[in-house]
Amino acid sequence: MRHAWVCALGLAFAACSDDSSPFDGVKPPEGLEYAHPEPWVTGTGVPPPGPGGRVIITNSLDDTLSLLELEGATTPGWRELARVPVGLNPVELEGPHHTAVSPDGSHYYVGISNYVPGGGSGPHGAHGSGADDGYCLKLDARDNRLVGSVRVDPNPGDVIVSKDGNTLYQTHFDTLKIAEVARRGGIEKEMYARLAIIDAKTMTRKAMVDVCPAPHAIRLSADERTAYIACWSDEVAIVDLSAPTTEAPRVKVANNAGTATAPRHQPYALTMSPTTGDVFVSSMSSREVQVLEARTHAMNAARTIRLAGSPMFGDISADGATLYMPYQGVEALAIIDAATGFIRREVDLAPAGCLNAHQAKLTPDESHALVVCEGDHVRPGTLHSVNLAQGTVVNTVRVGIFPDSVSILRGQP
Amino acid sequence: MSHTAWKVLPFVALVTLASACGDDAKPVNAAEYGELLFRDARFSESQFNDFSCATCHATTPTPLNGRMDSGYTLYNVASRPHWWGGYETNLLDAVNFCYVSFMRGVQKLPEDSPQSRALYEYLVSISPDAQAPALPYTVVKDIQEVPRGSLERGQVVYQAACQECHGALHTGEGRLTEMASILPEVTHDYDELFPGIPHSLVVIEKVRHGQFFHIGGNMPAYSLESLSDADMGALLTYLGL
Repeated sequence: MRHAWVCALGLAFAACSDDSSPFDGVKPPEGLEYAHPEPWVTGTGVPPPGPGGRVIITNSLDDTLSLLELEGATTPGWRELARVPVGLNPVELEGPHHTAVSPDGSHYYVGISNYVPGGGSGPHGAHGSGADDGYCLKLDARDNRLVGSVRVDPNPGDVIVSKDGNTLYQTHFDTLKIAEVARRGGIEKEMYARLAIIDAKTMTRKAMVDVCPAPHAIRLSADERTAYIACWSDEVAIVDLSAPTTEAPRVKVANNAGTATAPRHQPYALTMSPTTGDVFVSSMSSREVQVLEARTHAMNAARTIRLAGSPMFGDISADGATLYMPYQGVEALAIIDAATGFIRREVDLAPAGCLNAHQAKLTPDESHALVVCEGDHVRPGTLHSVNLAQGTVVNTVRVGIFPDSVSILRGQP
Repeated sequence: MSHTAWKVLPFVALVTLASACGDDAKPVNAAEYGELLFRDARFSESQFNDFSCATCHATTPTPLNGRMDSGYTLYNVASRPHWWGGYETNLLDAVNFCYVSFMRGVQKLPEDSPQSRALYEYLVSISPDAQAPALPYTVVKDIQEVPRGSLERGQVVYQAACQECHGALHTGEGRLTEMASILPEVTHDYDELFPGIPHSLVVIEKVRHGQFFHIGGNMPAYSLESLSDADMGALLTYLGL
C-alpha cells in the first residue's frame, strides 16, 4: 500500500512537473494572453488606391516601384505618393521589369528579370547578368505586399494579363541566349526563348511555349485567341493560344529583315489597335513603326511610319484613330493618324527632362499621356504627364532609377 | 510514521499538488512565450536548423559583451519605419526573410498563428520608444581586397563575430552547428574550388555576401554597418590570410 502511494505521488509530481512549463519550443501553451489585438501592424504603409486609380512604375535598377495617384496627373504639382521596394530578396538587386494590373484592381504583377548590370561580383562570379531564372510576382494592390510568385525563365520581358484576370502571359527577352548560342555556333532554333502562360490565381505555370529569339512585347487579339509577340530576330510571332505548343508562324517585319544575331530592325514594342486589331511594331534600330494587319496576318509596308528616333511602347485611342508613340533620341511623343501614318504633331519631351522615353500610357479620359523616361540609368528617371490637346508637359516627376514601364491600376481593390 | 498518517498524508500531498498544477492554467503572457521562441532554434521546424533569432540579434540598446552580430539589435525594432535598409516595409516580411533564409523555416510565419503573434508581442515589448530611426544596411556588392589590420583586433573580431557559429579557430570546438565550417581550415579546399583566386578574397566574399549572390548555405551577410572593412582586415590577419 505504501509503495502504491509513493508511486502515485511520483507520477503526480512528474505529471505536474511536465505541465509546469507551458513552453515546449514550438507548441504554444494554452491560454496565451495577447496585449495587441492586431499583430504586425507596424512599418510603412501606403494608403490603398482610391477610386481615381493609381499609377505604377517599375524602377528596374533600384528594385522599387513608384506609386502615384492618378488624380493629380493633370494639374501641376503631381508627385510620387510613395516609392516602395519590390522583389523576393532585400539583399540583392533583382531588376523589376514591366507590370500588369488585374482588371478588378485587386492585384498587380511584376516581372523580376534578375538583370542589374553591376549587381554584385566576387569569386563566385558576376551577379545580375541575366543568367538566373526570372520570376513573376503577384502583389496585393491594397498594401503592395507579395502574395505569390512563380519562377520562369531568365530575362523576363513583357507581362500582360487576360481580360478576365485569370491568365498571365510573360515573355523572356533573352538576348544573352542568342549570344551564347551564336558563340558556340548553334542554330537559331536553340536561341528561342519561351512564353510563360501562368495561372494568375494560383501563380503556377500552365505552359511554357517556345516562341522565337528574344521575344519581348506581347499583345493579345480582341478575342484573346492570338498572341502577337515582337521578336529580336526582326519578326513578329503569331501564337495560336488555342494550340500554343504548335510552332508559331513568324512574320518578318520588312523585306530587308535581318536575323537574330544581326537584326536590322530590332522589333521591341507593340501597340495594338482596339478597333482593327492591327499591330504597330516599334523597331528600335530602323526607327520604324511597322504595321502588321490583323486581317491578313501580314506586314503592310506601305503603312510603315518613320521617326527620327527609336520608337518604344505606345498607346492608342479607344476609337483606334490616334496612335501616341514615344521615341528615343529626340525624346518626343509623336501623335499619329493610325490609319494613314501621318504624324499630326510631336511633343518635345527633352526640355522637360526626358531622356530615353520608354512608354506612353493614356489616361482613362484620353486627355493626357503619361510618358515614362528611363533617364541615364544612373540617376533617377522621369514620368511626364502631357496635355494632349495643348501639346504641353504638365508635370515632370522624378522616379527611381531606370524606370521601364507605366501602368494604371483602376477599380477598387 | 503511523498507519493512519500514511492514509492521510498522500491525500494532502495530492491535493496540494493539484492546487499547484492548477496555478499553471493561468493565462500566459504571449510576450514571454515570444521571448522563448526568440531564443529557441526549435522555433524553426527544420531539422537542419541550429539558429535562433538570438543567434544574430541582441535585444539591448547596444549589444552586450562586445557582440558583433550580422543583424542589428532588435531593441526598438517594432518602432522603426522599415528594415533591411528600406527593402522591407512590413515587420512580418522582414522577420520572415530571416526565418526562411537563415533559420531554414519551412514556410513563412503567418500573420495570426500563436507563435507569430507571440513573437510580435515580444518584439513590441523590447521596443519602448514610439518611433525609432530606420537603420542603414549597406551591402558590399563587389568583392575587393581590404588592408590588413592587427592580430589582436582580429582575435577580438573573431570571438565577437565568428566564434559562436564556427567555434574555436582551427578546431571548431564549441561551434553551433557542424554545418559551420572550421576556420581557416576550410580554405584548404579553395585552390581546387577557386583556382588562382586568393583565399582571402573568397573569405571576404563569404562574409560580405553570406548565402546570397550565388553562394548558398544559410550564413547571413555582414553589411558594412555590422563589420567595417578595417575589422575585416584584422579578421583576415587573425585567420592568417
